[in-house]
Parts: sequence; C-alpha cells; structure tokens
Amino acid sequence: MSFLVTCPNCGPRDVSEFRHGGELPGGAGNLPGPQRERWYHRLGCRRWLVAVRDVRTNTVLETHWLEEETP
Amino acid sequence: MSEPAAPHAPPADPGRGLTFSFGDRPVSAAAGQSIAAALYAAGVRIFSRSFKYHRPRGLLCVAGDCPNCLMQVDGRPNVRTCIEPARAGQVVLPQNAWPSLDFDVLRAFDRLDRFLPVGFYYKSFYRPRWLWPLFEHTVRHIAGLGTIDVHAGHAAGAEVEYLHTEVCVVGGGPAGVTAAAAAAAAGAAVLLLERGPRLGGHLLYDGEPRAAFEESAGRLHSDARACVQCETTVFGLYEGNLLGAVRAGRLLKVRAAQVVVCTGGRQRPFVFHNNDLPGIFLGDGVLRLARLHGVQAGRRAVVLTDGDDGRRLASQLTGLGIEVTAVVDRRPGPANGAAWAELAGHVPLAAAGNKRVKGVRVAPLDGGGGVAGGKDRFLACDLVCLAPGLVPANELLLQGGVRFRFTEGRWEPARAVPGVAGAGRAAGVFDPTAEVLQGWLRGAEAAAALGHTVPDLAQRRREWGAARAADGGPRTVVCPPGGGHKRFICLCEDVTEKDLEQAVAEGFDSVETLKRYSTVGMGPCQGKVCGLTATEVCARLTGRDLNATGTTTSRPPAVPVELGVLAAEKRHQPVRHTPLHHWHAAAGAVWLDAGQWKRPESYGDPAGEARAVRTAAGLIDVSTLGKIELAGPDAGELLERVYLNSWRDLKAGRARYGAMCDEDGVLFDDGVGARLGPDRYYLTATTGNADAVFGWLELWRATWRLDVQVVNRTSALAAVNLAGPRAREVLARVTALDVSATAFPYMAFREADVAGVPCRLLRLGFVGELGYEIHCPAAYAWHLWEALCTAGREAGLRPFGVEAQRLLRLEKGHVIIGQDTDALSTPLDAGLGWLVRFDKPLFHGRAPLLRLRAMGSRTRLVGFEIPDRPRVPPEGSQVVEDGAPVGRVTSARYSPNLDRSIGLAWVPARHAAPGSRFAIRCAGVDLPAVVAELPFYDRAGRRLRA
Repeated sequence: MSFLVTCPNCGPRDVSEFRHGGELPGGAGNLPGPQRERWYHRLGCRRWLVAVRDVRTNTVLETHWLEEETP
Repeated sequence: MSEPAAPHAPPADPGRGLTFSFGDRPVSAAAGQSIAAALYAAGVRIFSRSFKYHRPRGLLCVAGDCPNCLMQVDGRPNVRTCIEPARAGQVVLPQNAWPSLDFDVLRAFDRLDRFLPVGFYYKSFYRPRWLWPLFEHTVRHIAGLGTIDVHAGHAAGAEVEYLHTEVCVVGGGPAGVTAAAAAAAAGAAVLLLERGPRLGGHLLYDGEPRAAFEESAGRLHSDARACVQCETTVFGLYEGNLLGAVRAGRLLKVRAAQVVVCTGGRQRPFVFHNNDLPGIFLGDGVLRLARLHGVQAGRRAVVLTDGDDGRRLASQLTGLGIEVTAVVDRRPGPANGAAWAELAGHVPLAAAGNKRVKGVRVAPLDGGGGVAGGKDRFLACDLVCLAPGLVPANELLLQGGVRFRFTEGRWEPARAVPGVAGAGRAAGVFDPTAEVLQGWLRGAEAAAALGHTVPDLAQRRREWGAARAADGGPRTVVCPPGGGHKRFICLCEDVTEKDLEQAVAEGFDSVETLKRYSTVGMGPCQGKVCGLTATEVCARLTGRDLNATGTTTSRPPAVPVELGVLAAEKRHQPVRHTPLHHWHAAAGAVWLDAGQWKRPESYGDPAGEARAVRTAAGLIDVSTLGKIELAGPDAGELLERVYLNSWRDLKAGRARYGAMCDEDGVLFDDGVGARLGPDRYYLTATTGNADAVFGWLELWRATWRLDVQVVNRTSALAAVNLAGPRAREVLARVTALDVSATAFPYMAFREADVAGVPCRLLRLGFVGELGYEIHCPAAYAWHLWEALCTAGREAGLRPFGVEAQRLLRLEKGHVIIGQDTDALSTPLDAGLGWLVRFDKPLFHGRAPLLRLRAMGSRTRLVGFEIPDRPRVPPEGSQVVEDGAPVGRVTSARYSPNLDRSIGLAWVPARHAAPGSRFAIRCAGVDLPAVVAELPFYDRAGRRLRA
C-alpha cells in the first residue's frame, strides 16, 4: 500500500504516517468504489480525519476532519 | 544534487591506474573501468560457472543484465562486475566454481543432462523422506550463487532519503534527457535519474550522432527546475507513483506526480547449440566494452543478425579495429559488396569451442522453414557478435500497469496509465529521430497534465505521429531452426529450448506455469535475457500468437537490490530517553526496553532497592507514563464514555484509578486520573500505550464532537514516584505544602512547589506504601530528583528500578495491562469487575461486557503462591490440568517479604476460589500452586493510607 493522504492540517503525506481507523460506521462495507474511512495522522498532527478512498485504485478523493463529518 | 560528468567525458582513463586482487593475482585497471573489463583486459575469459551444469560463462551483455559476470566483491555476493567500477584494493573472487573457474570438477554435470531433465527435483529424492535433507544440502552446494558473510553487515550503514517531484524521468539516454528538458522547459519540477555515471544512454557507445542530445542535455543542466542524479538505479515502480531507487548504498523513495520511463532497450541472444560459450557477446556488449571501458573483445568476429542491425554493427566493429569475417543474416537478400562476407538467408547451427568460442557453424534456410541439409559451413573466429533487433527494457512500465502488445513486429504500449508514460526504446521506439521526438512529447505531456502550459503540444504530436509511422521495426526471430540439445534460453538457470519443449509437453503450457516449473526467468536476471524468448517458444509450441500467450508478470525489484538497503528504514527506530536518563546511567542503571523508552531495570541491586521502599523510602523515574490533559465543558462526558468507571462525580483535588476497554470489552489501558477543576482533568496512561490512549480519546472526541481539548503532555512533563514509610518526611523537607495524612490524604491531588519547582502531586500507592507521584516540567526533573535524593539521604532513600517496582506491585496484586492481560482479557475476568459501572448508559465495551457478565467467566486472573518452595515458575509457564494446558502464568517473583514465590495466573474459573489448587508445568515438572487472596501484602491497605 503506497499512496498519499492529504491531511487537512499537514497537506499531502505518505500513507505510512497514518493509522487506518476502519470504515465509518454505517458504511456499505467492503464494496468496490469510494469508501468513507477514518484515518489518524499518527506521525503528524495526531488528529482524526475522514478520507474518501477508492478501494479499487487507492486514490484518496477527498479528506476532511472527522468532526466535520455529518452523522 | 549530484553533478553528472559531461556526456563526453572519456570513459576509462588509462593514465590513472589502480590495482585490485582477483583470487590470488593482482589485476590493474584504469580509473572508471569496470571490474569485468579490467579482468577481460588481463586475459580472463571465463567469468562464472553456470547454475546447474557448471558450464563456463563469459561476458555477454556488459550492461548488468545477464548473470554471467556475478562475483564476490569484498565479501558481497553476486556483484555484477561488468558494471561495478574497479577500485583500488578490492578483493574479487569467483563464485560457484571449484577448484577454479578454468577447471570446475562439477562440469561433469554437463554430460549428465539426460538425467537432470526439467523439473527433475520434483520427480526425484522425495522418497524415502529421510534422504531429502542430504539431497537438499547437496543441491544447495552445487547450485549456489555467492556466499553471504553473515558477520559482515555490508549495508548496515544504509540510509533512506525521500524525494518529491512533479515529473520523474527514469533513464538519461536521448529520450529521457529530451523528456526531462521538455518538462522543465514547460515549468515543471523535474528529477532525472540515471543508472550510469553520466548521461547519454546508448549514444555513449553505439556511434549514433549526438547533436540533438547535446542541446537537450545542455538545456537541462542550466535549468534550475531540473535535478539530475546519476549513478542512481531505479528498481521498482509502486502504487501511487512511488519509485524505489538506490544510490551509493542509499535507499531513495521518490514520489512523483508523473513518471516518464526511458530505460532503453536491450538485445537478447539467438538460440543455437552452445550459444553460451565465452566469446559470444551481444553486439552492444562489445561496443560497451570498447567505448566505455577501452577493452577490445576479440580480433576476428562473426556477426549474427536478423536485419540491418548486423551491418551497422559490423561497420562499428571495423571502425574499432575488429576484423569482421562474415555477417550471417537470417533474411534472404542480395549481398551488397561490403568489406566482409555476407551470408543472407543463413542461420547459426552451433558454436564450436570448449572454454571459448573457436567458430560458428551456419547453414542456409530451405524454403520450408527448415535448414537445408548438407550445405552448412564453418566460420572460424574468436568473437561472435549477436545483433538481433532490440526489445524494450520495460520492467518499470509493466510494474506501473502499462501493458504491451505485439503489433507489426514489435512490442508497443497498449494501455495508457494516468501518470505513467514511456518514451524511446523502453516504449518500443528504436529510430534515433523518433525516440527523441517521443521523449520530448512525453515530457511535455507530463508537464501539461500538471497544469503547465505547453504552447506547441499539438505540433509536436503531429511530428511524433509522422516519425512513428516511419519507424517500422522488423520482427526478429531469435529462435531459428536447428539441432542440438544445448540451445540455452535462460542462462541464469540453465534452461534450454529442449527443457521448455519437455515442460510444455508435460502440460505446463501457460507462460506463468511454464516459468514456475522450468524456472526459466527465475534467476538473478529475472527474465531480462530470456523472458520474451520463452514467450516466443511457448507461443510456437502451443500454436498461439504472442499476445494470446502473454508475458510473465513483472514485479519489483527490476534490478538486484541488497536486502540491507531495503531494510534501511527499519534501522531508524527512535529511542526515547527520560530527562533523568543520564542520571540513571551515571548511577549504574541496568537498562530495560519499554517500548521506545529506556528505563532503569535496576541500579544493580533490585532486592535491596525493594527493601528500601518497604522499610524506608525509594524514588523511581516514571516519566514514561502517558500524561494527558483534558480541558473543556465536555471533559467529564468524554471520560464517562471512554472509561469503565465514573468520573463526573470525582471532586476537584481528588484522583481515581480507571480502566478502559475497546468496543469488544477487552481491557485496553488503565491509569490514574485527577480532577484539576470543574472542566479540567489530568490522566496517566501506561508507558507503552500513551500514544494509543491519546489517539483513542481524540477519536471519540471528534466522533461525538465534544467540546473538550485533549493534550498529550507525555514528553513535556517528567514524573517521579516517592514511596515508602518515610516518604512523607522526605517530601516535607522540600515543600511548604501540608503533607500530613489529613491535609493530603490517600488518592488526593495537589499542586505545589517542590524544591522550588511547580509540581502536580498525586498520593497513590502502586507499590503498596505511602507514596507520592510528583509530575513537573521535564526541564526541572533533574533538579527535583536530586533535591529529593538529598532530602532523603538521612532516611535511607534509594532510587529503585522497574524490577523492584514489579515485585512490589505484585505483592500488592496490581495488574499490569499488557503483561497480565492480553487481547482476550476482559475486566470481569481480570479481577477489575468492581470498576465497571453498568449503570452508566453509554461507555465503550458496555454491550459486550453485559453479555459476558450474563455468560459468566470461563477463565480468571488470580494470585497464586507456591507453598513450601522457593522455586519461581517462568512467566508464560502453562497451568496444566490432567496434563493439558488450561491457563498460564503472567507474572511471578520470589517475594523476600513473604518468603515464598507468588504470582498471577489465568486459571479456569472453577479453580479461581482462594485455596483452590492447580499445577504449573515448569521445565517438565508440575509445581503445585494454591490460589491466594489478593493482595498478598498489607491486605487492609493500612500502609498506603498511612
């Protein structure tokens, strides 16, 4: 796995700086296509964000802070 | 940025000589010359012995592609000596030959090939089974490559470097340099990586005109947006356009928005009997040896070809002073009166010679695709030059997802991948004009994709389109008809055409299974020499076309990389020191690794340290504890939801023990928290879990959008624990705070100056005595520690380490999360059920813990004693019942205070009642143990409340 995640605070960073926090609760679950996931910028600003990742290509389409996520 | 040498710099410089050793003889080399070139100049012709048959092998590619020149250099195995520069004092040794390269006794295998057919190791030696280890040892010895010196630690100094760029061009030949220049001219940041010591690619040796190249190279060098790094080998293109590269033993990780691969092309050997004899070279190899290293490969050459490349090569050879006796061309055609004999419509049948080539036997083709009988002739020579058409060196493109199709006689990219492009020979374009035009276009397109403006893109596209139409490369047949059973396809693994025929006949008729069964392409060169040839043979044998047959998957590394280089990153494990680290070191600390931290395990006398805590006073550095501060109106709410116990009812100035579970009800962490004020809390977390607890609190703060700030102060603050019956009098000497039992009771929290340092004090009892955990800014820790040591001198205060602390806490029966619990331990089973406030409506682990409570415990964590015996079972020992394991010991120590062995163990719930007996298996003997009531020491807790 090797791609960039754009942290809202730190900018584009290597995925190895982040910890995966699983799909957001209520997601469709393991379907091909964009998936909303929690990521923690462990080796950076240490904040949680939501990344919309296309699980087929590992491209991150969008990121925002977890607290900005509409429940 | 490394400054590349000018493209015209002379290659090997005979004026500056050096000497290295080869076996037991000294060999002199010119500066810049490769090891193999210097050896060749010194008369060495056999460079290695082949993998299976131990046949003599000489230089072939002189490009670092084939396995023929692998040697042991300064203890490093499998060094490709044809591209490894010679250095003074090097120790070079041959591999896989005994007693010598010139005479290898295992050459006898060459005559036994009938008994060693393809896949023979799958068919023999598997019965009887006991024979296998002997066989395996023997085969490993026979088929060995180099030997690894496990004590050398060659790449131990490897570093890793991260590079980011807009456009990364791999390969500094004409296409690559033009691509880089075009992208830089359009305004993109460009990184050009070249494997060799200087730019130029094939222009450095094949005699093509260089004017256009020089212009681009000149522009590149003067462009501030372009960075050129030579002697940098790219070995892999990974997901997300991440390139892995090596430069001088350093691992580079290059992230580029656009990658343009211009890694050139390569020739591959024709297939005929004895086509692996020393003296048979790829044509480009002869040119490289001469023009890059100044060494003549031979005197009289025969050129084997399949098109115009042969004639071009022959005139180059003539220019170098090598006499060309004949050009043998598979295609029919008129001889055009050259300085050499032209044999059109001829194919090679066999090379003659024992340890080096003495000539080649050729025959005309008949009309029906076979060889005309009785018309063969022998051409004497000391050099056979192979000049087949080029194929793309496209490993990186394939790794990047580009797919190639065979159309009109050549391999071309068929599927575009965003962000990855190829240009020049790597993309199947071999015409000197066309490759430059394509390089320019791909570089400009990469810049345009990033939003840079390229004014003449459309015009350049038209020019490239016209050039491509003109660049018609004819198809080369590398596998002409002919007899003999030593028609080698794969040089690394000694796989012949006959082996492939046999494998296909046995049913391995797809390229991937053919590769795995016959091991074709599985050696050091990873199919660079044989991959496409194997595909062609497979296609012919199965009656499919090349596209239906396909090629095997290309995976990193595309070129060999030392494992130590790949592991470079793993060497950079941070080590964390507390602010008191050097005090401990000076006091003779024996170190213990606690996660990333170094902690004093003891100062040499753990028993004495523990005794001091029980009888007088002790001081331990607990700065590694996680320290987390919460501020905001919702601070109490966050703790209520994350911890098992209640926090809102905690009064300011009081502290409380707490533990938390994950969503499965498994214990995750514990610690003490204090309430500083209405909206402020201060928490400690266990050493190894500090970051995880902080991340966990942050996750739920953000998820529930609670109005609270969570701050990780682990490194900002130091902490020490002053404990023992005389701790109060020691503390009173250095603080004005009223530390009396009534004014500062057990589980209270105070903020006060201690030794002039602003501190937070928690009255706790982890080790079971009157104790104060004192937190202060890290910068004052040393002063505070020394002040406490001085104040405690008269009372007999001693610093103590983790070992004494572990014993003392075990006597108190305190659980260490992670040591006494694992990924299945719930608070209900671990004796922390009293903590769980099921009356709270919402906290992590509530639902699973409710279910588990209803189900009842199956195993329990209990304290135990070993009656009458001082023997301590090792931690991790099994608890056994009727000889079967039913639990395990998590902590065990001999307690001098109690004069017996005590510990904690997971046992079946039916054995959990105090007084219950069970057995612990210890070095094959079952020790009787008795469940004891916890804590073992000071059951009423009078001492810690004193």
